[in-house]
Amino acid sequence: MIEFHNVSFIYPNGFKALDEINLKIREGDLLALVGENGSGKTTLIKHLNGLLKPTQGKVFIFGRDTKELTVAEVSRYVGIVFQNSDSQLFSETVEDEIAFGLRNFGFSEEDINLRINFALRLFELEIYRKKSPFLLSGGEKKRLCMACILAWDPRFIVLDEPTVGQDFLEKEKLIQMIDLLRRKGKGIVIASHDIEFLWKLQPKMVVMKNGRIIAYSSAEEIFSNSSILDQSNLIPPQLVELSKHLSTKAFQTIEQAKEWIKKRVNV
Amino acid sequence: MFRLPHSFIFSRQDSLIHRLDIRVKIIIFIEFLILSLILFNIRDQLTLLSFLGALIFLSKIERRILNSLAFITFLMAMIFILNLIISKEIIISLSYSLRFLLIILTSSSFFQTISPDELEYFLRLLRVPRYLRFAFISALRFVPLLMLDLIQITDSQRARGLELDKGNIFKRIKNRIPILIPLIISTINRSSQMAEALETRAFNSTKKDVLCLNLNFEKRDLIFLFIFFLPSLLTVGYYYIIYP
Amino acid sequence: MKIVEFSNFSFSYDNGNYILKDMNFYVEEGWCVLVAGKSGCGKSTLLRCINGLIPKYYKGRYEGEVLVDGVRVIDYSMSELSKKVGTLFQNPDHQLFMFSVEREIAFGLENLGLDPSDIKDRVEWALDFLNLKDLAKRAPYELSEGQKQRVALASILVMRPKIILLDEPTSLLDPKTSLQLVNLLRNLKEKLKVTLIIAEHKLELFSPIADRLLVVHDGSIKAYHRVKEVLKNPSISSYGVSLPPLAQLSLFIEGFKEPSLTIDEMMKELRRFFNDRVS
Repeated sequence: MIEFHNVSFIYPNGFKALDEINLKIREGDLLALVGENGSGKTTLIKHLNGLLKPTQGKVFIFGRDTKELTVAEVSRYVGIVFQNSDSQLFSETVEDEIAFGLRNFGFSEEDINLRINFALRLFELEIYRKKSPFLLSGGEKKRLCMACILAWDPRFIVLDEPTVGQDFLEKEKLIQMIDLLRRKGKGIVIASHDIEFLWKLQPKMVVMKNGRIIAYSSAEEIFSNSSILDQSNLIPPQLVELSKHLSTKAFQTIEQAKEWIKKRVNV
Repeated sequence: MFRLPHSFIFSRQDSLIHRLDIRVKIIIFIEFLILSLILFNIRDQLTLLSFLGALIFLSKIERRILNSLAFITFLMAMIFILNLIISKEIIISLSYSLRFLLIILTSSSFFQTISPDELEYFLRLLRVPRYLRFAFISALRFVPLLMLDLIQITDSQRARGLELDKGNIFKRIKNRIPILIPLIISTINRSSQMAEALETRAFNSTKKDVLCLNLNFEKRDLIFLFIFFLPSLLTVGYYYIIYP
Repeated sequence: MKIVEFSNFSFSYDNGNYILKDMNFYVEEGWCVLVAGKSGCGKSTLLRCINGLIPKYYKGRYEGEVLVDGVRVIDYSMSELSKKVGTLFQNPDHQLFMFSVEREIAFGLENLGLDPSDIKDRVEWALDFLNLKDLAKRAPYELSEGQKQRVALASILVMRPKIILLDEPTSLLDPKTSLQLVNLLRNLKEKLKVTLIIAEHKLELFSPIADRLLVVHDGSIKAYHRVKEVLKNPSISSYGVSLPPLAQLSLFIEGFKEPSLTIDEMMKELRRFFNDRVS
């Protein structure tokens, strides 16, 4: 479990990026972090693995204060895939890239091999094993970056803007992947602006503004609360908008909308 | 503690001095620089210093100056001691260190109150060609972006368990490789994207050297020009009229 | 009038595989064309062929012709072309070079060597048109992503281009700012009659202002038609194009002539649909 107790963070230039944050994230949770640029999402994410330590308050990872742990120690349990993560690639081959993190965490060579196999298979990258990571396409690079993190099997996975520059098919793959991780009981945190993508995932949502959490609720409640949407520069997904016009409960999927229309016609 | 470089970088403030016409700023700067170089009398130097102090205060940059003062004082002390050993004259040695202080403060307040755009105007006055000026400006623009890249890459690698300060010196150098390679690659990408953008905006397509800055000389500028020309007037009046 | 025309056009970088293959299509002046497809399908290369970076900056095997405003791209100089075609790159940080917004906007005009008084007038106009007056003295790099994008657009508009190319313009924007961008582009199209060519994944956002949708797959054109016409065929999702939820839903409802792109269209169609069934 990750706990934020009254966490505030002030950058050296005096900018208060987090203001009294209280938050609990459990394993098995799927949490979406939304809010306009500069609302504090990235700063919050960097607190999850101890890259930043709170100016005031405390962050606990499985009961231990991140101030007393190194970034590497926390990262073993909380894996973060940053937005521009493809700019982190540097190895000669895809398998070396995955091995990098595993070696840092001191896994045995035998174990490393097994884990590379597992990660490559999970992300459908087996054929690229001996290829240079720089020759992969944008979507494949993104998958490789996730593979690099998931290889050491962290208990929490944080994805920062995972859909930027990704096409429809890649997004669909991403959704399947997140579903799989959710079923495996991982805690997942996603920071994203992509409302249609988030709506398909139906996460619990944390809405941030000026370093504060202004709402914490289900996707359905957040997207049907126009005052919150207004404050946080969000707009509702098309299906929510449609159900509002039809004055009915929000359609979570297109199937539900179809069902609803069918029923109306048959009655 | 040693924040000297910091006091030579433009500091964006909304102050009377910052808002002055660039030409007035340049004239005042050149004047102060010449005076700092020629004045060699503690009374004159202190007069100039008080004007400079007023200028710094009006530009709201005193904080940064104060931050670098420790280092400047240290250098002044060194100059003083060296001169004392050589000349054995306290007053002369003091003048030398005051001269140093004046030069540093003048140039520091110049660079802090002149925005890069205005600096470009200044470079153009010095007949620096447009492409060279652009190279200079874009270097200023590039450094903060590079720093952001560096932070981002370091964060990404630390999130993958990289520990920078672990092991002996060789291990530590080796630890930088996962940061260095991505940094080089992202810098290359960035510059090629910037080059593309420049191409589509007709960069370097004509020999004509146009620079469009809004220069407006107001009454305020005239007043400031007069006030800050007083040190020169005083000096000239004192040495050439009263005691020729 | 045809403002952009590709005829029998193929291109490969450094004589490798063809990135664009045998392309034939044209864009009428004033259209807004969306270019969609998987990432790596050749969208960015396509844009580079219009703004002249190919073949002026990137060399390779260049076959067939690309015409901009009736003249072959290869016959233009880069500066002439920059007056016809403006490009908004994906990351505005890479196209903002100056330290104040007004200087940034003037930059391209200075490069062309225009008269300073003319430059001033045009910069004033652009600041006004894009509502940037209050930011004129600010440094572009300290603005928000949405504002940066407006500055970048202003610096393009000031060159008075006939065509503006946009490469995934919303990827760094939050939802409401993205919507504002779409409205701004609608404004450009209606008031200035600028031709827009936009590479974008978020069709739900852009299809309401688009006249045509171009689907590119492996460097070839798979579909090029009115947006609603293209979205009628659900199989285009296999080319990495996401059908907006409303369009997807309208495909299911019999009697819908065309996929709906906006809520208003959808509601109108639904009302008619229900009325037909009830009576």
